Amino acid sequence: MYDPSGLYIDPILSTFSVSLPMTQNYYGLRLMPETPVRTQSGQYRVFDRSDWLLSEDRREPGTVAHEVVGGKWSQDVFSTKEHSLQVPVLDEERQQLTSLGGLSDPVFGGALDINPEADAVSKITRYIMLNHEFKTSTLLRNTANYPVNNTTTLTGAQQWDQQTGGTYPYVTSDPVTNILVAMRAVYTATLRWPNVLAIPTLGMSYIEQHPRIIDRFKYFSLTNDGAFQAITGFQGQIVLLDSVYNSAQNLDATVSMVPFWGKDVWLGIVDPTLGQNTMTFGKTFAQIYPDGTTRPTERWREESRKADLIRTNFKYDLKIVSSSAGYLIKNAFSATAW
Amino acid sequence: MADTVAWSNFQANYDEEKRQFTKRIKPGDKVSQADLGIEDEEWEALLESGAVREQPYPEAVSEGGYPDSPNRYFLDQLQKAAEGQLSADEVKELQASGAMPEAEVPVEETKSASTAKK
Repeated sequence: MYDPSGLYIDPILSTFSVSLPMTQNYYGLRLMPETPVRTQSGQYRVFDRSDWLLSEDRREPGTVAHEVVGGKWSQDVFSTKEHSLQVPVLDEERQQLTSLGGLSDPVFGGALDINPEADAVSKITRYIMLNHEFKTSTLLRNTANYPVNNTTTLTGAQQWDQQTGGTYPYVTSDPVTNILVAMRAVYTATLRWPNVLAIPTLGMSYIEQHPRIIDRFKYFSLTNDGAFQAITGFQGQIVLLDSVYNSAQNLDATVSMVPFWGKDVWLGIVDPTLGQNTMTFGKTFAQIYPDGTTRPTERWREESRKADLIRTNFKYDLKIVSSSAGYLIKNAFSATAW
Repeated sequence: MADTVAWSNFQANYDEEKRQFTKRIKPGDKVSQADLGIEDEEWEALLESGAVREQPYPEAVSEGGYPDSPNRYFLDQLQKAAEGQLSADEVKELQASGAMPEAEVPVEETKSASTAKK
């Protein structure tokens, strides 16, 4: 009587969908840790080493002890700016979702795991954190943000994925020396060894296969605890950077995923602790909102739009507080490496 | 084409016998594509990334008189300019860096931004 194909509409599976990972790791707050502040702007003190003086301290009986002058410091300022995004959850969304034939209808296999409110918070938080990541990577990857001895740029056969030239294993590129030079530069300027080495995740395989690295680890196993650190001479924490963003102008344009951290390698001192006399490369000064958090989410009703609005806020200032505590190896890998 | 200046340390001319680079280019030194011996594409990428620029590198930073970064140096100089504490030469350096608009350069004979206002 009827063509069976006309009597059937394909349902959308509630048990399966395809997506790239909805979340990813961000490294902005790891490299520029958050420091909560109670004011929109303010100052912090920067102590130098001018009072590391040798001072005559010998005191003869009956005489007055020598006096030393107090230390001096300079001051720097932070000034937070608000980064805030909102998204509406329309009444129509909920109505359609739960209507007869909607994706949450039992006809289609029961309630689909769609929660518009939770998805809204997740989306705007992701947008805000993507921007923070972008700002951090732009700041860290700019050679103009480092003192004269704290940045080097590799070219041609010096790049770590280029394992040619010279006589094996002494090829022209030399990640071990590059890292040691960077460590010495940071130590010389700060009297502290860098504790974080940030490498693009795709670059790590080139390093592990590099002839100069292989030559160093041929007498022991990489599975030994801390073996890689021992090989490279770097004793701190290695962070593999893999965050990306879509550089297209809008949702409909062709997707173009760009890694935030490019082909650069960074190492430096990261100290997330609060307190006086600390040493760290950079900070995210984040103003605390009245609810006591630094990234509150608000929700309110707009009856005229028949929608609930959800907004997340983050008021911060990214600040390099000690440029000599970081070192940038620009173009550690060539453009064709990945 | 204008001179291009290194905004990072570079090495070139690898000596295979000594197993080291014999040429070192420091921030502030003039640098060309030929100095680095690289292809057009890589040179363009260096210009785009800011490791090599047409903008001069601040002398105070390259010579070690100022221990922080070029960006920090320019910020400090802008602060001093706002307070009228810069000499005409320093203002010119700021202007060449692109950090200060042309209109704010004081007249030629003046010694400082503050005297230029008189």
